[in-house]
Amino acid sequence: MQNADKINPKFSFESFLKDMSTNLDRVFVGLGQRNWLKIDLVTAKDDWQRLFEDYNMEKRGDVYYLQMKANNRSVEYYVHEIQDGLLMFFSLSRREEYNSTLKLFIKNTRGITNMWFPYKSFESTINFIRSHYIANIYSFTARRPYSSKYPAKIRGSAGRSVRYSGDDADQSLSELREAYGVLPTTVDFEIESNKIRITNDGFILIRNINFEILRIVEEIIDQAIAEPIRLRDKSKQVLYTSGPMWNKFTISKLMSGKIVFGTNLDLPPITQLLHGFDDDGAGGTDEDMELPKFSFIDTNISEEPLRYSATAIDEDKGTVFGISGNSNRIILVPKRKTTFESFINFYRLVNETIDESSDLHLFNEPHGK
Amino acid sequence: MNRMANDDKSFLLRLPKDLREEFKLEKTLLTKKIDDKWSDKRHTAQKLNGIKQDKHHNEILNACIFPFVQQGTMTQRLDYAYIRSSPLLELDVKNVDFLIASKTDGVLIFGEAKGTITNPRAVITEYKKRIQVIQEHAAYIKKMFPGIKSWEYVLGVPSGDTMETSKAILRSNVHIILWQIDEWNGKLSLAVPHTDRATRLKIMHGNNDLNKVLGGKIPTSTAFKTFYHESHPVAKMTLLTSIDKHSQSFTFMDLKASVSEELDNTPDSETTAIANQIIEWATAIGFVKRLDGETYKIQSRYKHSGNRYNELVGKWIKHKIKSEKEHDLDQKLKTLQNEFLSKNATLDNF
Repeated sequence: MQNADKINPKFSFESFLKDMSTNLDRVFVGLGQRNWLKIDLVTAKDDWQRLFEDYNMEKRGDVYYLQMKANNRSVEYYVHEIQDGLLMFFSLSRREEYNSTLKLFIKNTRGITNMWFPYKSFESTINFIRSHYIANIYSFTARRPYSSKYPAKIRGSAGRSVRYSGDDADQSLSELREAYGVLPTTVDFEIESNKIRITNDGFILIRNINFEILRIVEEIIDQAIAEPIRLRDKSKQVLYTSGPMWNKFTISKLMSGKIVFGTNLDLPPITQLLHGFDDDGAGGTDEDMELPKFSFIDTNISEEPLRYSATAIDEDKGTVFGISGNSNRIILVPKRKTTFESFINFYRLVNETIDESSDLHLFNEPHGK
Repeated sequence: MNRMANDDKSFLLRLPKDLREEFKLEKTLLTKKIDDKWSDKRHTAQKLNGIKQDKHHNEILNACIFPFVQQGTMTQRLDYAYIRSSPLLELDVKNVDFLIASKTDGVLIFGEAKGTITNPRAVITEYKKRIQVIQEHAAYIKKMFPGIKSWEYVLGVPSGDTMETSKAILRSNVHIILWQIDEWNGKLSLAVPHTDRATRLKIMHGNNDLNKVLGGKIPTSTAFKTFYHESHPVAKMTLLTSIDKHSQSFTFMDLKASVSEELDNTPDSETTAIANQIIEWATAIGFVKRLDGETYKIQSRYKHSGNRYNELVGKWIKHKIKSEKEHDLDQKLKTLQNEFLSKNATLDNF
């Protein structure tokens, strides 16, 4: 009995966190080289378990256990469902192993995506950490979207990114923000002598696993999760479906989305958005920055006043949707093979490359113009 | 090309020897002339322009229909809903662009959309003919839509064309309701001309709530459907640029499913025909290759849909120009042959 329990331990979430901090080899069997603990925050469809049918996922109390193959090695993952479809993946995988397993799986599977935080919500998480714990930033990466309207004292029209390490990183982040208008995407904290990295696409790395830092992470997630939930709930409603029948005819039902800009945009950022970022210094140089991949076909842009339309294709997930916009907003009209994360990811592309103050809404919500 | 050479051979045999050389020379000159004519960039520009114009028509059409599908005032409070494009499809007659219906009001709205209007009078004259066709099939329409009491005719135009179109409608004394699309702000609204009340009422909707909502400019989108029944072949083939995501090939059923998603309430036979047509066009231009049975592969250097779209447009234009050039050469060659035959006949007469 004890043996079976050793092979398949059952955890409450609390006991899972405790075991990780005191009894790690009970949690991860294939514990070899000691790595940082990786926590991947993920948004998925409600019946997400079906996505992992090929991985013999087992329920072990409040967490699930699965292994994914990377070359010849198995990579172990634990999954905890925070609430419907909002997941935490725990692993000790190395970067390459993670890249060729869960990361690749999320990239190519419809119905699942990394939990991304828009600039504003990521900032408030950073401020939460700063004000609630004895926390110090020792390194960070920050970016400035191409057409950011966020104030910058120096050459405000330039897109840029910066990676900074130093004893004064905490102050430098504020100073660089003010001078260069850059906003953080990855932040390395020392929280009560625990080293922890947090990224704006829902990735958390912990150097020394202990119960205290795991509880802090839980609190941080608890505080940060409202915005990803809102984005998921909105994007799930962006759908084109068959409605009721009338005589022999089916009445279609459409719910479009819209991205409302924080400020009026002019032609250059829109051209940039629709014609790609290949030649752009701001997006291209930062190797950690992996933007969602969209194609725009059948593009039509006209100026003065600005208007544009195109068909957008999510190259990773296959969703096809129409976009039409002006200087105030872009309407998102679902067409084919729609999955919710395509709309989050398109919003991410807009938010991270052309307007950090934009917001995602449903078409008929009374926001913006 | 072989066919042409063979034809040539048998044709030459019909000429006396001295005319044969002369014909060969004339033919070389003609071929050169036709080559030059068709390599002119303006043919490419013309074809591109055709695609662009179709796109604009599609945008105006989208903007007319969108509020009648999108969840909101039209579909929920007023119960007006988009049914399909080409309302009289099954009858194979000259048709308007779209059909909207209200079960509550027992009303159908037949609608036509125009991307650009150069001659408003001609547009109205053409619309009058379409109205006549619709009226000729009143019994059929009533059978298709039991409970329908009346129908209305709408013409949707870009807001810049409202004034002239409105005048043309008033002059023609035909009851066409004018919708205008403000493409910049994404608004659809009713254009009510300044005229006496009695006339005005004839060119407004029967449901006054609908007039009010449309009078207040309703938000719409120029992006919605990729194509309609009458769209340009390139618009229809656009489906192919993303049909094989996560796969190396696609099936006829994949394509047919995409077609029927674009064309609401279209009979199965029609979606099959359009899917077949897309395959046929795309095969002819070398964009699709049949693997076996019902499985096909996209023939492109690219996987990325954006690059594929550009390739598709390029291949289509090239193919189009080539076949028009061949047709041109064929015609001119026939004329030349006839000239030589009559020359020969004239010689024989002496």
